[in-house]
Amino acid sequence: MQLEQLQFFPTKESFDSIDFENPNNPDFFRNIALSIFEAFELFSNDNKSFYDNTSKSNMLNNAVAFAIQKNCSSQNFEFIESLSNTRRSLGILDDKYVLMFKKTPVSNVKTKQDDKIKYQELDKHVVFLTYEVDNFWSEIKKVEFRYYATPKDITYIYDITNLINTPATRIFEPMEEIPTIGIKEDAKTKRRKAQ
Amino acid sequence: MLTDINPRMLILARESRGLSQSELSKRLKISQGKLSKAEKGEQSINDITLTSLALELNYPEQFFFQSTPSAPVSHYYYRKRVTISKKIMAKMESSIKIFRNNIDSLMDSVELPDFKIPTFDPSEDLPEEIARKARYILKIPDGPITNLTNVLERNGLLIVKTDLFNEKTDGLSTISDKGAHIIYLNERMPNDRQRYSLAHELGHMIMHFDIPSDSENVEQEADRFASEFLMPEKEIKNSLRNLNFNKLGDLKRYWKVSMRSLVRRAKDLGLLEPQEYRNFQINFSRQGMSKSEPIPLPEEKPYLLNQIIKLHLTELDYSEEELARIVNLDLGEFQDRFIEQEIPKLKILRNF
Repeated sequence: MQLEQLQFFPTKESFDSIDFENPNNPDFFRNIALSIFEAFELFSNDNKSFYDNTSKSNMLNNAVAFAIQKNCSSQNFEFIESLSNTRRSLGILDDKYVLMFKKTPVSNVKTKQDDKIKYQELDKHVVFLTYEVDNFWSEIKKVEFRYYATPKDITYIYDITNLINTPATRIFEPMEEIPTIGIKEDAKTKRRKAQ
Repeated sequence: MLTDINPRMLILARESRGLSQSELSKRLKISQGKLSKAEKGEQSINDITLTSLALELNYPEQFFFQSTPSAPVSHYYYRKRVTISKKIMAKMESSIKIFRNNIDSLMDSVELPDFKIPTFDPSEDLPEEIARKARYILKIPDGPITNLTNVLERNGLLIVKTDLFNEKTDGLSTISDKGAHIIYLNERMPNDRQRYSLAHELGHMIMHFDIPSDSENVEQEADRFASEFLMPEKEIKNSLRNLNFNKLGDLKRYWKVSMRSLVRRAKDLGLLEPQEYRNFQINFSRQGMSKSEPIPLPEEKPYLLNQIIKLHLTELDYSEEELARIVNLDLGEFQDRFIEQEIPKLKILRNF
């Protein structure tokens, strides 16, 4: 799918979904999906390093930025940390796409910066990586990339939720103290006699 | 040659396999009348029938010569008023009696932690007050109980997770003939429910085992005990104000109880209006959370029973075959019941 730029003198080529979905690192999107689920685990386990005075969404976003930076940084993907307090950490994929990370629903606060991004007025295509949690904040329901042609029009969605097969596993609560249990004094003697 | 088996053990064996007299007699190719008389102790059985019995019911022949377990199975815990078929009920009860006998056969050689679970009379103190006293006596610090199974096992209670053959019974508590205090939890239930059931059964042990109680109130008393024991009012009350779904997940992770228990607690503490409580219930049911909730809690793994077996195998140098003979089980069933599986039964969870 190709999306034409609504500009007389485009500074970049049209957005090509096939090109986007086939980055230089073939594991890139899998690593991104993995990072979102990992970030959610970190956030859920009360990891205080993501503590933020504002909201749970911001705390989760901090964890997402941390996990993506840790798992996905490579020569094909440059992670750029937020320089201001706007939490606009972003990444540049294959020097062609700017990826921005957001929990859905994406804020509708209208700013000049947002408009520039969503009207695709930057010199690279901006694609939003969005992730959705359920009502109870119990799990990540969806991870997808969204391409905005205007702030109101999402013209492309790439769902990567199922790129990872999470293993079935059991999680155990650790024991605080091992209960004392022992062999009775006469049991060994009785056993020896019986043998 | 005619053999005098213990007729009560014949009934236990048949019921534990979920068979009626008519079903078993067909398999044994004997008349139902003959089986019925054997179960009443009015007729001996011959060696050939005994061998067939052992084969059909998958118990070793010596099983049928054991003495009858005398202690009743006490305090079943059902989440709701439910009906369970007589056959399933008999299967569950007989299996528990046999399991309890198995454990007793192993108790001669081991010393469990000292039994420090107190008893209180619910006609003198409110269940909530008893729960607070119990937490103090068991040296449980303020806040959520991280691993309830571990706390109770350290205080001499044996906890067994096993199949209770239905999804309606949550747990039950009992004392074995040799005095071991045991709580059985239904392994089919999710971990949050198992924890609540454990606290509920503990309530029975503390309030109802030594003291005869008004049978109508015992379940309610055990519930009130469990709620205060797991979620002390003084500590949880503030966080239950203005409850919403978003907050429930965090509270579940922190207190390690189900969201439904938290909502119920909020209602009982007067923090939810009846309509608000109803709305929560409607939402739970819409989201299919009646049986299982999101945010699975970590599993609390019982330690003592596994350790009893390990000590027999290592310190006393028994083989698994010998232990199976001691507990009067077929080797396969002994291993299923007592030897930790290398390949665990899996549950779906996201984890990294």
